[in-house]
Amino acid sequence: MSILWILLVTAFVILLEKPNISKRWNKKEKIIFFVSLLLGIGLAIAWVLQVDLINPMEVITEWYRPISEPFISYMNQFK
Amino acid sequence: METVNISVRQFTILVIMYTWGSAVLLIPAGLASIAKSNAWISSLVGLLFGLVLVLLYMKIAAIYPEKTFVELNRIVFGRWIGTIISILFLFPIFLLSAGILREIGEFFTTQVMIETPIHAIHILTLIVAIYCIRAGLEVISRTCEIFFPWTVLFLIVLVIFLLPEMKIENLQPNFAKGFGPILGAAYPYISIPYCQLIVFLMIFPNVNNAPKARKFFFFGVIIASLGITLITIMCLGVLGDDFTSRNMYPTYVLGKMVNIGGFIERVEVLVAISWILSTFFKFLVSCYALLLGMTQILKLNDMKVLVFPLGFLLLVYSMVSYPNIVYYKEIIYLMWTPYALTVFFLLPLFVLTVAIVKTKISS
Repeated sequence: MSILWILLVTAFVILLEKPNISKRWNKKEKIIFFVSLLLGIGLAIAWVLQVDLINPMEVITEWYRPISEPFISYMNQFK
Repeated sequence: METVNISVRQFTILVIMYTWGSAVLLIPAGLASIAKSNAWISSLVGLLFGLVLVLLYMKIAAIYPEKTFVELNRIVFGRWIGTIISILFLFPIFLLSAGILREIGEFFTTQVMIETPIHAIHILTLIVAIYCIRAGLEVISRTCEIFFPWTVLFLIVLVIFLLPEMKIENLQPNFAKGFGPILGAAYPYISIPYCQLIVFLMIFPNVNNAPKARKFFFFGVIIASLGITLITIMCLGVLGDDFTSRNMYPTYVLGKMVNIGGFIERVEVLVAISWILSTFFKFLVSCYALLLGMTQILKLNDMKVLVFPLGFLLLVYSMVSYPNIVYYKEIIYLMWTPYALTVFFLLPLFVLTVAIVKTKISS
């Protein structure tokens, strides 16, 4: 997957949402749509460029390690 | 926001498909790795814990039947604290949705379409999911209603075809190492799928008969869980506990074992169809709950505003959060349960307690 593909998909999404953008959605909804779409595209491009994105599961694992470790050792004794 | 109404029957079917989704294929291996031949007993013990969670969710849904969990948080805690609690509740649903997408991708790229890049599967799944979510909950429920009989039929066919291969001695010994391994195996089973049932707190207000829906929520979870227990028994009986625990998808392997008179063989495709259908509906329901929650937090009139952006985020985070299936499996078994119990059990319990106290004080 390349950046060009992501941009093409984005253009397609905007084209598809054009009736909603121009007629249905109010100003707040339009802003939220474009901001969240930009965030999504930015993350997708970063992923394509293999930028080291924060893995939320790793963060949660670190937080929960003290709680989960006794359970893990309890379960491991039966494996 | 448009008013959406689904029937109790459609709701129950969604609950059954949601509980089955991913669990039917993955749970037997996890249970057998710890409880060995007692894995089926573990699944029943897990069901008991799961029913406690379901009762908690039913209680929450009964406080304000016409409000979703996000709206309830705002009523009980006010605007700011309510929003923080809702974000704490929605973030794991995002991770859950990304995880389900990853499961679908992994299954395809390891078992069916080995040469295909995983993100191609993710994009195709997302396109269909976005189409369904844009169509709304009613369409999702009706589609689920159409596919449900096929999912059940394929699993029944699998069980019937495998009966000649089943060895009852594989289910023995029972309680050889006491109750410890059984409890140990049931522990991760609580988080998948029972904790995840909290997403239905976002759907309850859309069911046209809320009190009946709460009863059928309970019924649906029991039916689905007994289905998982039956599949676990088949896995143990046909494959044995060692082979079941070492396989990523033991139920899929079960399909390969079918041989009726050298004529009907290898019905694994039926298992795959059944699993993909249930997992896809699980993905749809999770995404719908997440989108509805975000729409209510941001006070938008149209859910469609966030559908495509969420698609991009899920695509990226299905790859970033779970780099490979080994990592995914390890995370699920080691870390997900305490996290899920915090956000899907302790947090709702806290919300329920405050809501009850607040209601009593005001009355």
